[in-house]
Amino acid sequence: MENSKLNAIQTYLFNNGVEYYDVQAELIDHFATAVEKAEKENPNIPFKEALIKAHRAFGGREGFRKYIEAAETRVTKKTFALIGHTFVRFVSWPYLVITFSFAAMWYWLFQNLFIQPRYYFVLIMLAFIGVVLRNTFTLRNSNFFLAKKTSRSLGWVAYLLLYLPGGNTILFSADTFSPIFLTIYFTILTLALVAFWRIPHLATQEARKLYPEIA
Amino acid sequence: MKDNSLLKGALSTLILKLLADNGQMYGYEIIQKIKEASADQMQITEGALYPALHKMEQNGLLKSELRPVSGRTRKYYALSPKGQKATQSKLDQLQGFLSSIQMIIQPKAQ
Repeated sequence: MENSKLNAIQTYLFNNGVEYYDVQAELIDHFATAVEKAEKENPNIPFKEALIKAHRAFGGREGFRKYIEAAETRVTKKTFALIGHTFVRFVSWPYLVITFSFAAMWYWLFQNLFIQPRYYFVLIMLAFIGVVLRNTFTLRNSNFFLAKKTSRSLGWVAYLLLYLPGGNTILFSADTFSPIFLTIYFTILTLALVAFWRIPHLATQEARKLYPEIA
Repeated sequence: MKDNSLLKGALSTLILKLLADNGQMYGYEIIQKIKEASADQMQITEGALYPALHKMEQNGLLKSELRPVSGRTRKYYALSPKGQKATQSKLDQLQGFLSSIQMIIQPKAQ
């Protein structure tokens, strides 16, 4: 099938709510195959009519809705696998060196520079906001749901698992904390920041590997 | 088959059976094969097939592979080892169910 027809199918899917290429890809092939079959059976059938016929057989908007839901669930699962895999890498060789370096840096800071932990916390949160803005900007035109979803999910992971439990304790508590506790907490925060920086890029790479025609 | 709800419960078993017989297949091919094998009596709403395939893949019954085909990507499905093991038991279950239905709707014939 000519590229112009494939592009027309892609635009048709986009206009019907199937926005991202990694969600569209299987549908593009389905519709292209259905259109090819219709054209073979009736060489005079206009392309648009063949496309609408394929859409009807697919179940119309309801068919798309079910498809998108299933495809997005699959991508979400992949997203969490990617996030999990990245964090596991921080405790495996050779990335363990990075983890230990961050831990050593934080331990040294808490032992030698008597700056209140809340200031470090604010600094890291500002860095997180910076990375969120950078990710939003770099992914604004991304065709891949995997990359966008990963970025969004990471935001929630950072907020729910790191900011909420640690933030209140460190920001508003007058208690003093042991350097070991602070070292562990701030090392995890730093690793999350690095992951937050890297993962959307890794997700894009992974999606491009799966769909080289869009890269 | 006009009433697709009858097909719903059996769809995953039919997919397993088709993949066991044909090896790798893509979505559109599976739909055509079901129509062809049932002499057009079974009309799947095509949109219903993909969620079933995705769910089976998530459950580890199927594995998939993406291959470039004339400017687009085609996703081929095949049985995973877990799917291979499950196929026969699912077919037996379906067969048992059909026999039970048969006994209910045509008691004298049994």
